[in-house]
Amino acid sequence: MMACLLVAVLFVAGIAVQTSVLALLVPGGVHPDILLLLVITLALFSDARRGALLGLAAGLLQDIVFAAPLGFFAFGKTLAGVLAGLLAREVHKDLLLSPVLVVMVLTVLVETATFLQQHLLFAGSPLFASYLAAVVLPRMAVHALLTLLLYPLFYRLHKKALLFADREA
Amino acid sequence: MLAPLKHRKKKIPLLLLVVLLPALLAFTVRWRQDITVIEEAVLFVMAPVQEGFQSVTRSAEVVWATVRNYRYLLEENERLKRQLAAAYTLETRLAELCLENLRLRRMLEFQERAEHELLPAEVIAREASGWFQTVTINRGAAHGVRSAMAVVTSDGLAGSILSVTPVSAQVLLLTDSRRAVSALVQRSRDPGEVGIVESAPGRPGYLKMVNLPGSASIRPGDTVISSGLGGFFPKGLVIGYVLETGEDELGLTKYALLQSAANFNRLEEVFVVLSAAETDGEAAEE
Repeated sequence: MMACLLVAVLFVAGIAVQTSVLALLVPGGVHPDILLLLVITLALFSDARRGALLGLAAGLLQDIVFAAPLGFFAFGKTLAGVLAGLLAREVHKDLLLSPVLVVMVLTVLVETATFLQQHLLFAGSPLFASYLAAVVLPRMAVHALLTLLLYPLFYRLHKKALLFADREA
Repeated sequence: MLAPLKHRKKKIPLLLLVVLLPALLAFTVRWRQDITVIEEAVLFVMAPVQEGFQSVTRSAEVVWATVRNYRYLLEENERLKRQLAAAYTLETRLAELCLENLRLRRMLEFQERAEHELLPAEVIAREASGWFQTVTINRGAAHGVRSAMAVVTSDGLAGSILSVTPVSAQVLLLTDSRRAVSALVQRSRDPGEVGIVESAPGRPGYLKMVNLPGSASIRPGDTVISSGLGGFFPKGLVIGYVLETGEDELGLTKYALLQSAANFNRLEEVFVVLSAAETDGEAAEE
């Protein structure tokens, strides 16, 4: 229950930061996807099922707040949650590099999935190469930096058993 | 029983990704105009949070901008202060010019209706010790000014020329104790009711008319003018207005306290009476 509340607060704060602080401070720039970072990081301390639910919740929240078709962001985030959850047992949680690499890879994957959705659902998509260079890679770099800051905090919460119980351990 | 349930739970992510979300996406990509109650509730909760974050961000941005632009703000503040000071000076100057314009208009009007030849002059200095009542004007012998000429304003008699230089002259005001004028009441113009107007001892800025016959019909509100007797000042120049009257200690003569017609505290432009002095004046004092 405590973990659910914490996650809810994190998601609401994350989307608020994304839509207000970042949008105001870096107008028109490439913003980090705070919710994606939260989903991946939290899923790394959980499992695939919970990761999927986390991704679904965060994605639907983003869909609602951004007024996107329901599922547009939810799909990519659910995918990220599932994969991060699947990797949870394989990743060395004590090493900072592992989650950073996971975040970088999943960022590219989710952005690619989002691009494909955009391409399939709406007309006028940009070229993937330019999208990759202009958005995906800069966002991946920013996510890597932010993971260096965020992951230790979540690691401490995990150690204090404030996050999810390690059911699959 | 438990095993299939656990197995089914493991399929949740797959179901979400393959079935539920694509279906939801396909459905809502067309029907997105009407939001559901759940979406409305989420947005309702999010709105104040976003507003709070936005407000904090804006405040932080303002603080940061202030810090970042501090030096520029200082310079701008200094520049604006200078501009304000210049504008204030200009405004004061403008007000001065308006008042001056008004005075000059009145003087011009006075000059046109005056019976004497008048020379406009500007007061350029004022006796500052308080012991004497003199001013300096910017007209002198080079302009035709001579000693003992009468000096008037558009309101009335101000004094007489005390000393002359080529380009300036000193004026002895009526309020100076060294100055006296033969005067009469304008209402009656009775030659038998001629008195002497001089400064009022103990009443700075006021004049006193003395040596009036005991039978003189002078009363408060009367206008006192120069009599022209003695040939120092032309006849008919307004000197002042009677404030109160009384009798001397012996009851033989009357006196009157006068409010001077000319405002001696605000003398800025005056006229030197040229023609009258040439014809009438030679006496140093009446």
